[in-house]
Formats: sequence, C-alpha cells, structure tokens
Amino acid sequence: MLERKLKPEENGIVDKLYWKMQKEGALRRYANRFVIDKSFVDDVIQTTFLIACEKIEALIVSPNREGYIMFVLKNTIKNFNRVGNKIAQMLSSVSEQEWLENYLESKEDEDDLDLLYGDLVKYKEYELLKEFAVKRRKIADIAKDLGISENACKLRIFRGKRKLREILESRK
Amino acid sequence: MSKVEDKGRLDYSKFDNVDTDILEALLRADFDAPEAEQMEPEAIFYILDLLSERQKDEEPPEEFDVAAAKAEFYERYYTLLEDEEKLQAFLDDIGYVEESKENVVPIKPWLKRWRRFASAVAVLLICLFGGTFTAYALGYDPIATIGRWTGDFFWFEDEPVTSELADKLAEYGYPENTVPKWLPAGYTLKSITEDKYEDYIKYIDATFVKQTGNKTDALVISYTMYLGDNKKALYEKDDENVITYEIKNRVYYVMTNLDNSVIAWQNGNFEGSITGKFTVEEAEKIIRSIDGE
Repeated sequence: MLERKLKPEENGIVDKLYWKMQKEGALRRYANRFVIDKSFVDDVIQTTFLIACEKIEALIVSPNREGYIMFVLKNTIKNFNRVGNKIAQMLSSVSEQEWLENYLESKEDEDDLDLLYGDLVKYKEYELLKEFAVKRRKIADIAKDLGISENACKLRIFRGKRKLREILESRK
Repeated sequence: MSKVEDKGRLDYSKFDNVDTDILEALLRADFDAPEAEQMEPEAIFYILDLLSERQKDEEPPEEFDVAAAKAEFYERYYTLLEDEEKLQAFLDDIGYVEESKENVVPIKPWLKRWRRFASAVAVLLICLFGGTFTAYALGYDPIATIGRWTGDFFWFEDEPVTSELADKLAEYGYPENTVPKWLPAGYTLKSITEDKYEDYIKYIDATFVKQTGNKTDALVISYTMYLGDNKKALYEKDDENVITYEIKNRVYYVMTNLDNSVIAWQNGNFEGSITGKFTVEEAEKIIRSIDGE
C-alpha cells in the first residue's frame, strides 16, 4: 500500500488503480504506441502515477478515475516526447564553447557511479545531448555505443538538460 | 454482441468491425487532437482491448512484472512527493506542462453526445472511402479535408497542402506560425527530407511540385537550425532590389535570382526560406499565410 504522503483512503484508491491498470496493460500498450523513444515507456507510466498522486484531489473528485489516469498519461507522453525538442532548442543557443566555459562540476557528478570519462565528461555530455536531441538517436543505441546502461544514459541526458538551462538562465 | 467482453463500459461495439489500420489511425488522430476534440477514455480503452485481442496471435502478450514495477514506483518516484524541490526538479527535467483539467470534471451530457457523434462521423468518413484505408492509416488524409467541431456545429475544412510539413516541424518544437498555409495553386507535396551539415546545422526541406503540361515546377521550403555557431546561409540573388515585409515584428525578405524568387526570414533559432517560381504578389500572400493572416 502507498503510505507516506497520501491519506489512507487515498492510498487505497491509487493502489487499486495502479495494480488494476498495470495488470490490464492498456496504459503500457498505449504508451508503446506513442512514446517516441521506447526506453521512456516505463518512466512515462511511473510518472503518470506520480502526477496522479501529486494531484490526488483531482483524481479523487474525478467521476472517471481511469479516464483521468489516461488523460494524465497522454499529457505525460507528450511531455517526454518534447524533451528532445527542448534540448535541441537549447543547444541552438548554447555553443560547445560556452558549454565548456560554463560547465560546473556538481555534487551529482560525484555520485554518478557510471562516470567513465573523467575530465572528458563535459565534452562527452555535449556530444551525448546532440546525439539524442539533434541526430534523434534512440537512448538504447546511444547507451550501447557508449557502453553504459540505458538508465545512466537517461540520467546524463536530464543532467545535461539541467546544465543547459542553468547556462541560459545565467545570461538573464 | 461485442467481441470484447463487456466490462461494464458503454457499448462501443461499432468499432468491432472496423479495420485494424483504421482503429490505429483513430488512436493516433485522438492523440494528436486538441483536448476538447479527444475521444472519451472509455472508447480508447475499448479500442486498445480490441486491438490487443486481434493481435494476440501475432504478438503474444508481453510478460510484465507488476509487483516489480510497483516496488520501483515506491523507491524512485513516490519518494519525490516528500521533497518539493526534488519533485519540481523532476518535473522540470521532463518539461512537465500542466494541461487544463477541464476534461476531468463531470462532462455535460450534451457534450458527451456530440463527442460520440463526432467519433462516429470520423469512423463513417473513413469507412466511406474504402480504398484509402491504408493511406489514411499511414497518416495521409486522402480527401485532404479534416473534420472540425465545436459543441454546436460540425464542418469540414480544407487541409493546407503544407500540413505534413507543419507536423514534421512540430516534432522539433518549431512554433505554429512557421509554415505558410497558402501556396500558389497546383502545388502538391513531393517529399520532406532531413539532413545535417557536420554537427552544427540541421535542415528540413520540403519539396512541392506542380505539373503544367510537360513542365514541372518545384517550390522548396527549407528550415535551417543552427547549433550555436555563427555560420549563416548565403542566398544567391540578381541585381533586382530586395523587398522587405514586416509582419508581427518579423521581417521577411523577397529577392529574385533570374527565374526564381526567394523568401527568407529568421525566427529565433532558425532560418526559413522558400524558393520557387512565384510573383511578388504571390510572395506576399505566402508570407501573410505564415502568421495566420
């Protein structure tokens, strides 16, 4: 049972929905159709339920809770599908030179157990972002080429996106 | 009797005899539709179940460990609810944009009836043109019109010849007011290509052609995205002056190069150009259709 943030009755509702809808598999079949990079399918479904928990009041009052989950799923798929576009837009404003000059090591880097590149990590992350967002390569393929797990690849992409955002915001 | 066991849902048996390709196209159309024009979730679940039933012989159902997924949910996702900062960072990572929640409040009965009608009309429309099922399923609307509706009315609109190009650019996050909605009469889309030059320029080119007797005229709409370097495209021109149009704070340049005309403009991070045989008057009309005039 989900325990922490939700009230007991809310726990019960989400718990039942999660089990039922995951068991029936409709969400997964839908996500498999519309998530552009299939490596994100699991993340999309988990994020859908996370958002449903975060918006628990909207879920509770909905006359059609499974329908609400589908509504959130569609929205989540579109958000994930846009990640590459947003990174591509940011890359068009941040040159590799600026990326190298502004790249700051952070605590996240110390915790990254898949950090294989040492001093070259900042160069490689820019390349990785381009592979994903501009060349539109799939995460599974990029991860295979780099010899890292798909999860590590996704973590690097999102970390890179955050760093791009920081660089752009530092200009304001 | 519905082929999919009724699980207490409304009767959607009208979908039972619809081709698989059509059902897939309906799901795609619904996914791409604005929120107010989407199908009821029950219809989506029904179609998904129907497709799964049909496809189970070709693709055996995937073994999925729900318990493991749930455990992962508690460990990696649910814990974010306890830390507002981490939750917000996660939502920022995925670029979470909260859509309107109007769809989840109780839906007025008359609106529900119109949505069911619109869904049925969409299916009927496709069924009337039996020879074009495959083309439609591949994303091409063979009759070049689309159904639009509000709560009170339903009508057909001619789809711009550039709609596929707009869809392609939408995948890359290009804003809506990017693609001209009007081209001189007779042009049809021949191809859309994507390419890159080294690692700092990405191109999307759409070629439209018009057949006049034995002659074929081509019109090319190009979009170039620059990745942080200052290299810009150069356009060849003849001695004629460059004409400028300023519409909604964007400047469009029209120039000629012997037999061809060129329209060029910049929009944020990308550059657009249209090259072909068109008059200055047609150029202005093309330009005005970019921003919805």
